Amino acid sequence: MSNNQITPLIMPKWGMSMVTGKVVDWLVEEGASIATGDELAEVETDKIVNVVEVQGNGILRRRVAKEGDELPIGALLGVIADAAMQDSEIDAFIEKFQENFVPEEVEEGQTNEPLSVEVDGRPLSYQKAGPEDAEGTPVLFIHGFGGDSSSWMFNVTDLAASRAVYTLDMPGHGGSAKELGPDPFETLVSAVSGFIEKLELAQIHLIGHSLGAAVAMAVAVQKPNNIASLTIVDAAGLSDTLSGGSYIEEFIKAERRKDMKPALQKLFANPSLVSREMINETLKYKRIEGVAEVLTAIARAVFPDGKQIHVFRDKLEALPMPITAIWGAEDQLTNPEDAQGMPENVRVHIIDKAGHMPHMEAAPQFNKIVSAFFKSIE
Amino acid sequence: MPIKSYRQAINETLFQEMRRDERIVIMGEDIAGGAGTPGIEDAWGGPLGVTAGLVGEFGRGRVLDTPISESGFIGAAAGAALTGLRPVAELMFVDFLGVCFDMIYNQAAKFRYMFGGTGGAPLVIRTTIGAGMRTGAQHSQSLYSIFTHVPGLKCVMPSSAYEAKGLLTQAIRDDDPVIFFEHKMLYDMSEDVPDESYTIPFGEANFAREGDDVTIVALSRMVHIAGQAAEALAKDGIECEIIDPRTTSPLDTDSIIESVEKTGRLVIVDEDTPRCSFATDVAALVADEAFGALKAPIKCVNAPHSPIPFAPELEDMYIPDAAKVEVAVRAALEASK
Repeated sequence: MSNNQITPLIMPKWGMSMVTGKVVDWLVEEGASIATGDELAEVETDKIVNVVEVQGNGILRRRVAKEGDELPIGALLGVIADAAMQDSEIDAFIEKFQENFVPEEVEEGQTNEPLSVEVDGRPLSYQKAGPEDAEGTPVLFIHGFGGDSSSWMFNVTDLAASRAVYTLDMPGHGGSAKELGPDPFETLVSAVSGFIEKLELAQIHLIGHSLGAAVAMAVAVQKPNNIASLTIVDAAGLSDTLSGGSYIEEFIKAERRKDMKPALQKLFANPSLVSREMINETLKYKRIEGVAEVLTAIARAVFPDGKQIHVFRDKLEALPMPITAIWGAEDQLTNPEDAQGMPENVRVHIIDKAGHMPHMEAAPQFNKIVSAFFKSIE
Repeated sequence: MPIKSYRQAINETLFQEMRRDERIVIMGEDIAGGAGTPGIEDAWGGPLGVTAGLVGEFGRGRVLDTPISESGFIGAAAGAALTGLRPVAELMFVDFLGVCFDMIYNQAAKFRYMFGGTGGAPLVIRTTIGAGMRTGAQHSQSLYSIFTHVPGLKCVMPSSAYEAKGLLTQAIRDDDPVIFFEHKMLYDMSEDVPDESYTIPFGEANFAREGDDVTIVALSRMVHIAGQAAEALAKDGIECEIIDPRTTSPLDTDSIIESVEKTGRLVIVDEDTPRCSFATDVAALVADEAFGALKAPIKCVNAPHSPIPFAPELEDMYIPDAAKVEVAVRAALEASK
């Protein structure tokens, strides 16, 4: 940020479905010096609260948005400039910004509509972000048990600046087919492998969470030459027990809000992050015909009686691609101790004050780790 | 996810359930549309277009246009349910319930009890409620409280297209008589509705909005009226929690009490007339079970105790609106200062 520049702080877009965000709390006073990476404000989307970070250095000269304001993506939250900037110039900047600001038109069926591809005879739903002519190695995100593409809502935008970012709904999840065939785990692995082939992704960074991390490891073993790097997040598939095995059963059984809420709260270090909308969206998915059967089938095949059937710990060392493991220190589901004793080719990052979903609960930190990892290998 | 209207969501549910279970038959006045006129026989699909296309796929054996005799065809539906069919009958306007009330409350609702559990009536009666269509005093009422009063009936009031599909699927698969109240003013309201089948369990309220200051319990179209009021109040820093019980029988009392224990204030918005109504029922329930949590008197926003006026200006004044809800919320806050 040069000396004579005013930088607007705007409402970020997190996830494909976000249209507005609500300013919950300013974390920095007007007049405070700020530097890249500082957390400026808490913003609530319809799913979860996240923090807005600053890029560049300067002084938060003006807090334009008030706490409690619900604003569209791109709206002016605040103004950053250095101390020499005149107040009158800042006023003029704000006035001009507000005059010219037009909220992004959300056209039905355009920005939010997922794409679809058929793999093994099953329609798979996925989303793609990033510039058309992006040259960076693309990224493929694989969600966990009972999740979907939207699990990565806080992670896509950051990485999609310079590369294509794909988020896939595994079979049985999100908008994909709600049927898995006789070998559920093999179906998931084959779906991800098939997706990579179908989209002709010769090189891809694979990032998997929980069950999705186990799937990602299996895919990396099968197709080592296509996987530029592997990132496993609060991974299943590293130990023969699942410390929070009761969660799986509670999640499958929960048909009502009062049962779903305590189940979902186990996923976060801070249980108050589980919002009304997150519960509603999860129940909406759970109600769809076939989902209960699919989840039960996965649970039986992959996590029977608190055990884990598909374990890849011994296979990691032989994998040719760089590997990072990220874990929330307060994970109640997959044990953070599973990150201990990794082979030397695996970099391990433990994120404090995060549970099973560090990519949501500590999104800025998570994104930094992933970006730094990519930078170090590209 | 595809965007569908309330009308389309109901229509799609009927198609999907009839394909799934051939014991399902539908019956009602004009539901096939243009009866006896080949070529245009399915042009209409009932007075509100909800059953369009069904006769074309399922034929006249499963889509029965009935005579204008509610006691006749609702009675036939109850009897058919007893013999093992799963009828979905359309009672065009809930206002006509007087003609067939015996068949519903004294027959269908009592079969399971009076036959010692050996015979139930897996029957759905779809009907319409609500003012605002300029249809006068005999076609605009919201008579769900009367049905809620009767043991043996389940009463369902979807407030949106998503809710309509999940609740109607549940209603059709339920083994007891269900009255399914569609609000006329919601038919063209659209939202994301999955193509796949899904069910929403009865007796499970939807938290339509979260807030700490005042609990608003509202049904059907009133959920949207309450939402408008809550938007306006939020600008003044007043946060309303809106609970849509979805079904008045069974009623999710736990969620209502849980919310009132948090907010200490309760406003009930009910399009039915005020005496012996859903609103008084919820008010009594909370006064009885959560009196200690209340910081202010309970406020009810109902239609007035009068027939629905035909004059459009008066009809608009008759229906509870956001301004009336706002007044009630502010009164509850004022009383607890």
